[in-house]
Amino acid sequence: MACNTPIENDKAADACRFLTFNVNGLRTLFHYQPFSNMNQSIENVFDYFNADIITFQELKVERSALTKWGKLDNFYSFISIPQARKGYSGVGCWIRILPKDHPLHNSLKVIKAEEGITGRLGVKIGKDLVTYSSDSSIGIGGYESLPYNDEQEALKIDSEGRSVMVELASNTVVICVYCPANSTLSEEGELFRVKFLKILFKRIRNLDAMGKKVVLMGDLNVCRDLIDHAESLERASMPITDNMGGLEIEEKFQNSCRDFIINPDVPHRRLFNQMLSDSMFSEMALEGVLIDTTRLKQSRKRLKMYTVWNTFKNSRPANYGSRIDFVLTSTRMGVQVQSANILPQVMGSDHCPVYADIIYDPSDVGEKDFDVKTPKFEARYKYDLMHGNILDMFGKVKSQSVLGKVVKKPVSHSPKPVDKLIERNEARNLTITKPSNGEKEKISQLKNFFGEPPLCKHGKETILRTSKTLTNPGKRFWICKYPKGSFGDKLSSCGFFQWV
Amino acid sequence: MLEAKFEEASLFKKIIDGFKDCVQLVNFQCKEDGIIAQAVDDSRVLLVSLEIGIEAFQEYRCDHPVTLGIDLNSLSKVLRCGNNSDTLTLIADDTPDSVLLLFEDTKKDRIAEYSLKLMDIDADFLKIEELAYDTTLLMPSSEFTKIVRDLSQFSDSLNIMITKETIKFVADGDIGSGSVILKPFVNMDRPEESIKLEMDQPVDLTFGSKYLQDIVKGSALSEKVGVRLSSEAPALFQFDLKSGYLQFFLAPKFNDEE
Repeated sequence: MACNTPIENDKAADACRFLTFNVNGLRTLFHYQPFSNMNQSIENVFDYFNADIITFQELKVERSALTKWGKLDNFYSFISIPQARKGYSGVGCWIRILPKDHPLHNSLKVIKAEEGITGRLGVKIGKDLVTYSSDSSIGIGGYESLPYNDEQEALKIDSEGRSVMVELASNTVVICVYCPANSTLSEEGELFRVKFLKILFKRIRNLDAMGKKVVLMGDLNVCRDLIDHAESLERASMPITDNMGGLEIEEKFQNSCRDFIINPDVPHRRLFNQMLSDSMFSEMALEGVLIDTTRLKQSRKRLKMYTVWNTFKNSRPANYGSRIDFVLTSTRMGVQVQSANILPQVMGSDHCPVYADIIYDPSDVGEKDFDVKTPKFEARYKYDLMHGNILDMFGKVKSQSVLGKVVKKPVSHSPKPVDKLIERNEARNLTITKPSNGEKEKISQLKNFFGEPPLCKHGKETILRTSKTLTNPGKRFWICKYPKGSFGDKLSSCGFFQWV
Repeated sequence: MLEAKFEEASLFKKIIDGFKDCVQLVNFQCKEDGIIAQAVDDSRVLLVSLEIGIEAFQEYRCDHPVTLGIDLNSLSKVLRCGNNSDTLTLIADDTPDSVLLLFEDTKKDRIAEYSLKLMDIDADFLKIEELAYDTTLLMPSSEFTKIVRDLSQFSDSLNIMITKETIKFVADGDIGSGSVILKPFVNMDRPEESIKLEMDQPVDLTFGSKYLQDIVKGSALSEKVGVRLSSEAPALFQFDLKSGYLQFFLAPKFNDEE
């Protein structure tokens, strides 16, 4: 693949790169550059990030589409999709199968894998369904006193394709989650969300107590600190100057920052902070077992480190978002973290990827080679994808990337791709800069249909929008042409508003 | 210049319907002696190979070999526009950027013309050599379709076992199980209903129901289906045209245990 990896830091040979990305539809990811050149292959995507352990959330794939995504040559695939709602949610975790001579070959061997967080789901062994919590040979463990009421509730929580758990030979348990959001702000939604988090966090504490190293990564749908939430920063209307870092803000406006977490209306933030050994509440930090690798490496000074933006308000250009995607590790793994960051330049979703490079000591797992049986939850078994490769069967040696390469473009008589590209660009520029008289008239007619646009506080022409609120449906108004951004940013909206 | 005229548009429609659900982008290679095409499905389990010989056409002319890269979704949209009894002519020049589809209703003097843009599809063409098979089975395609559709309801996998004198299809799933057993027989009055079996080695193979369900869509093309199985090679399912064939090569499932 010709594309360069978006991560500049070199990964050490004994480092393992963890990457999480809420892709918001696996199929749609491939509509965006550079993924559109990747031939619909997620292996190419993983190679592009040079990542070894990857989780994607909101796959939005149906079971029938898994023939395409669930059978990779160089990765183990663990995929959970919702049982009822099709094409919604869905979490995948992929573990690279490293070559035998790679120092981490043994460390990344998959010992066990589980779907869900309660352990009440199971896999088929022969004819029987065996639940993870009932058989220690397939279950990762740590099921004691998980806070769910009954079996039915546990099954419901795990039925939405939100979590995958993988145990590696290096005593690491990787937990990939897509935690529920409460987008409708209903009481029921909040209860479900809090329940999910409580069970997840209890499970992590159990695993931690068992001596496992835990990596929790994914879209937690919870923001941990005020400095990670643009809207709340603005609402608190703090006089923040440009040269202020996160630390100063938290020092100066301690009450607002603390209230952001312990406000009883948002119990999920408090729950999350209770898990963090780097929480700003020292009493919570004492009890915390996880560390936020992104903050650890980027420090609390860094502001505007957002991983998700509102698509409807087009707030990404002005970087007005929040941070709810994390790679968290057991606190004692903090020393192993080589680098960690967000990748906001990567498009393709309303979220951006987040990664952490974690150094492993290969001797942890012992020198000698050992064989482990692939867990039954691996997508090949789970979704019955155990087919031979038809091309291999014909004794075909050519690499698959060559074979599947499909260039979707109309055939031209004289293929001059570079020239064509330029021609097209010129043509486009022409229409923009010098519209023909007829077009010009049309544009100005349309423009003046509602009168001349008023000027906003920037002194720029405003744009016309249509109200969709219940009180003023269909009524038109003028607003500033810039997207919603943080206060004081010249390239963000000045807040101008005027009915037509 | 390519000019390929089907006496009835329905034939080409049936051919395309026979494999449009398992592959999308296909290169049709038009040569002096007919049209061939090949494509592999996304999961790389099923390979489709098509050959339409000259005799299948009412008229056929191809001065220079041309490759038509076609999105089957788009093609079937165009094919739906024609009536089954219309004649259908495919027309393309020597370096085409589109292919013309001409539907003619000779009785009514109605002519409909559609142009379909072509695509550059970068796919390899596999030279398929004659493979050695343990078993060859020839049976009515309607019977085969019924067995596949019936048993697919039970399981994602369908097992085909052939011993000396019996052909057994088995599906075993969550809701229950089913099996169909056939024996070779000859129907003198209606030879198309006969079941013929040639067996060198018994076979016991399992296939994905999803793929078999795709394959039986080709059964509109022919009253008979040829099934060739071997424990080493991909299974071959073949529907013959008047001249040419539609072949499906399917990789069997592995045993569940590693």
